[in-house]
Amino acid sequence: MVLKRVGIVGIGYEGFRPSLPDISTREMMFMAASRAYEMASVDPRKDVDTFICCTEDFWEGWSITDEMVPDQIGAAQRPLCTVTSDSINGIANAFMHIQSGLSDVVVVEAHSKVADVVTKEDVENLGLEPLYLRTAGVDVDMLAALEMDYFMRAASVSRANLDELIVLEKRNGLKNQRASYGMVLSREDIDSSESLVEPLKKYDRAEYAEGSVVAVIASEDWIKKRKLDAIYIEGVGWSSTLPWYDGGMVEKAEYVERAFKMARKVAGKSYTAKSFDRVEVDDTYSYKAFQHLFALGLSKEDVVEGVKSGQFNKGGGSMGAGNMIEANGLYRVLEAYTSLENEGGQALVVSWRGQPTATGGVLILSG
Amino acid sequence: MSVRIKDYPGREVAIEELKERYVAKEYKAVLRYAWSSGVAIGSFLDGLKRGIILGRRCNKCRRILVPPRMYCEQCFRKTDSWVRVKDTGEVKTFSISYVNVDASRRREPIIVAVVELDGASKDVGILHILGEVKPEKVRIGMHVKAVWKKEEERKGAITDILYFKPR
Repeated sequence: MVLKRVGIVGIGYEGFRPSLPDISTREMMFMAASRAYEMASVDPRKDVDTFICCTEDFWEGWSITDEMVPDQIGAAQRPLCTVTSDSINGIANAFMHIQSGLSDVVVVEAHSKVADVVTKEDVENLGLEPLYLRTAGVDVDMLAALEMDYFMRAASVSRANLDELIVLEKRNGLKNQRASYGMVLSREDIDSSESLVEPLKKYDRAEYAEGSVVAVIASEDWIKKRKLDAIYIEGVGWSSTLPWYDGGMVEKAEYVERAFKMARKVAGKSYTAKSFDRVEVDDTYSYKAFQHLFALGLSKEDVVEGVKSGQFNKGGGSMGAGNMIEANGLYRVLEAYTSLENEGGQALVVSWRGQPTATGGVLILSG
Repeated sequence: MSVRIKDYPGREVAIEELKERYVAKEYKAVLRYAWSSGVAIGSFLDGLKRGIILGRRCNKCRRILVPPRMYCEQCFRKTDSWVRVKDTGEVKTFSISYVNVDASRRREPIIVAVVELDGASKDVGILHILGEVKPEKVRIGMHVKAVWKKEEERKGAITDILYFKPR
């Protein structure tokens, strides 16, 4: 059986700011969706078969959030489901909706309205195992610091290596109009910055941002019938593995390694990480970018050289644009989409669900 | 409580007893949110503080939405203009509740109702409570009017309307 090819025909966004106090979550989603539908020339009330929203109740502050999301993305009284994970998983679900024949057109939305959460640390800490981790007084930054220390020693990654990545991504952010955290930063600035939990410094962790991203995803048959341009999804994969503190790997992110393997299998091609013109990789913590890149099969020399030459996260990544929780995956897709639309080629997108998870997804895109 | 039920059987388990006997580890999350009300609900709440009820009109389907939205979910387009609706309406549905929000029992019931406001579209209603009426007197279609808090006590919240009473 020949499976359908799947492409992205429109992508829209709203926000990408540290805080958006003047609009509600729903109004933000509506604007992002309106832009995506205009770009894809679709009427969501007629043309879209299924809708997927990536959202997590604790970040929203109400349960059954899925009941509250259809209206603002054109999905009132239409099939909609939520995916409580990073939005790469939402795209993976859309991909399956189309390949299974269930849908021709699927919409995926993800957002962050994280400035509305007053006690962010408490929401983060609810992700910790309740009986022996949470009550031991550990928080997610402590876990990150422990992992960072272990990783740097195990993978021979130095403080200077991390600094170089942060400095470049912050500078890339300045060149990206939608990135709020772009800045000219020196290694001395990082060195003298606040220490969160040794060895984790303030600049090692991406700051939060608010925004919504909506992608319109369709089958190749539908795209050709409408005579639209598309960025095609050649492969998609996702995986959850043991966290390092429960015995999982620390030198590289095993979940990314497995997800990349799955994505290559779906694509039917033996790509290496060097095959791509653009790599958008999770960098919500500086050391995680290295860990994720190692999991793609790159050596330390490859990564250090790639960082120097600006091969990764050309738009500034999360260091430049901010951490948008479930929308991080779609943000990286947006950056890759924009690049492929203008320059062509192929892009690799790597996302992670965040601390304390060992869950991630990989997407292979071609222009 | 009701005509047939004068008391509840069994024994209510108190929170302290629940913790002592059944909970292995207690954890108290402090979850606090400060939601951005946005343009539509922000204006609606501001209107309540001023003693008026605002809706939004969609020029395509011609509905008037209360509480207001900046978009019409049926037409998927921005709504077009603000509309001031009356603080009177009729009861579309109601329920007489003998439980509080924490599931504890009430001896005096609370009457919750959906009120279709005069000036809003048919089947567009707001949820509130009824007052100054005995439960057995409430009827579907009953005409009601908002009873507002004193102006100086209003905070820009749905509770600036104390309740709806028969008119």
